[in-house]
Amino acid sequence: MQATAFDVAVVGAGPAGLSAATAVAARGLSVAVFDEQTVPGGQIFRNAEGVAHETARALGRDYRNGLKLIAAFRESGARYFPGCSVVDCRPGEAALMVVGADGAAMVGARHTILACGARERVVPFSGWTLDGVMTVGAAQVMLKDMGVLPAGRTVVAGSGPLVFLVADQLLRLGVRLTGVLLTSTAESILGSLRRLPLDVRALAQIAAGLACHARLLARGVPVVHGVDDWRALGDVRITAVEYTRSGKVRRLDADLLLCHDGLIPAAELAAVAGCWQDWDAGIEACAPRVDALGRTAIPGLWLVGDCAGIAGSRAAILRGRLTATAVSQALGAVSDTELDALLARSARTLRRDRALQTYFERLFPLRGVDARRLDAAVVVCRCEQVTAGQIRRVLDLGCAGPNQIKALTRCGMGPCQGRMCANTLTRMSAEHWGMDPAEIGGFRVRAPIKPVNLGDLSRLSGLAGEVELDFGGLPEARSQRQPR
Amino acid sequence: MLRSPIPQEAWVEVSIDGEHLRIPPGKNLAASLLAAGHTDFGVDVHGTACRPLCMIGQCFGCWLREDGKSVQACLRAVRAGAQLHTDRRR
Repeated sequence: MQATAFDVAVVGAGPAGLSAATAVAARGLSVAVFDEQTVPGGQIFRNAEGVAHETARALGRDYRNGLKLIAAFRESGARYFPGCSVVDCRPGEAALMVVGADGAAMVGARHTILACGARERVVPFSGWTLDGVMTVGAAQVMLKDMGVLPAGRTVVAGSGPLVFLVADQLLRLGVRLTGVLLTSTAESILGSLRRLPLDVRALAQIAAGLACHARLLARGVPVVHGVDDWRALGDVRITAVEYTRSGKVRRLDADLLLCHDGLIPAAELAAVAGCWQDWDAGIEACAPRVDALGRTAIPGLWLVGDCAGIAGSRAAILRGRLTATAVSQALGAVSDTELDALLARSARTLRRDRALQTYFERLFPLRGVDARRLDAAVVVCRCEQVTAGQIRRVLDLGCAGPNQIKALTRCGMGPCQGRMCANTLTRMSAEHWGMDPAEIGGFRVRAPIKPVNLGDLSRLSGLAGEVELDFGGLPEARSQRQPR
Repeated sequence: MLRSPIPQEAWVEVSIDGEHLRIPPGKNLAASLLAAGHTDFGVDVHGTACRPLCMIGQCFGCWLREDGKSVQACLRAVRAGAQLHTDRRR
């Protein structure tokens, strides 16, 4: 079999991955971090090292605090491989297949920690394929990376705390916001109050959200609650947003619509490794099953941060440290008592961050996928141009769920491999059959989880010659794999 | 749709589908193209226009070829002289 190149491999250099890698390296273990971006920080602390001063100020203290985490990681001795996509994960074999700018490589590790983070969900709506429709996260990426801001009339629409946060940041930076559309209703606000987390930090965060709300109103930005549907109007480019509230349709002129329907775990690598997925009814999405230490049922595979369930950056940093300690304990570098003590110390904070997440889930209902909201012409699969009407037709024919829908319609077969439509298909199937989404499940995920250039595969070589390779392990490992 | 604060003197030239464009070096390729007003990311196999949605490597709306190799533009940094092609059907 193959020689182990690293004690620990970490996938992702966001809050969870940086924290885990730093903590593992501090135990004297060898650790490699693979990340798709060109600089460390993930999405939350994106470009924290290089951001312009004015932008950093608008992004707030939490963002600037990311610098400490990144600095500690830079000094930790962990090997860092930016610009790399990990497209397969097989703990116990050649652990990871990594694709970088200079080629592809198999990387061995005794333990693998996945810290792949989350992605924004967009529940499809009419016109979401028009020029001028992006996610709120995309606007933040452009802001953090290069200070680029929306130039025209901008509407922000969706559910989740990020909508408020980004609207407030854009307003501070002088963007012309013509509307903030939210799914929260009087009923959901009351419901969330019953789940109000009674802890100082959570309440402070909620208060900060209310302050954002007040600032938007004070600057004359219409903040509309109880919006249960919206559509982008226009031919090629967006010209207006039409939204529905209590059965009434209203229109806002717009040059840009930023949408967001909450965060869902980026769990593809966990799925190809064979990790079990559960339906999380709170976020209405699949999440990999892990224990309190981030351990999966697959020997040597651990999950940290939002890819193991949405809980935010503070929880991600803590979970990173906790799992790193558990991995170090498994490798004999940490005592049982030290691990137990850290677990006990972390439990309360993690429980509280989870409670805050539950509060936000109650506050912002997710838009439904029924025929009223998602009419037949709406594109569900952006890659293959499959519409809600086509999907309902094959559900009527008896399709049980996402995998059968895919076989009949090509929904989810494009380059994004179902990242954008999987959640919608599960929800649509559950609604059609009157079943719990947990029984429906998601797409069967297969490696490689991103398109790989054949040239890279054929040369399967080192990342700029820096990684020890083992060519012998790959074909053998593949032939032993059970067909799925 | 977007405005960029980066001074234009420092920008470098890339070509996209044979057209020359000046954008800031070292920055996010997809964001730089969008900020330069280049919102055309080609068409997919069905002839439908592709558009970046997420900017974090998930949606493949910014998928293009850089010097002949498929890349997600939102995960790449701008390099002077890069030859970009958006046609996915080739």
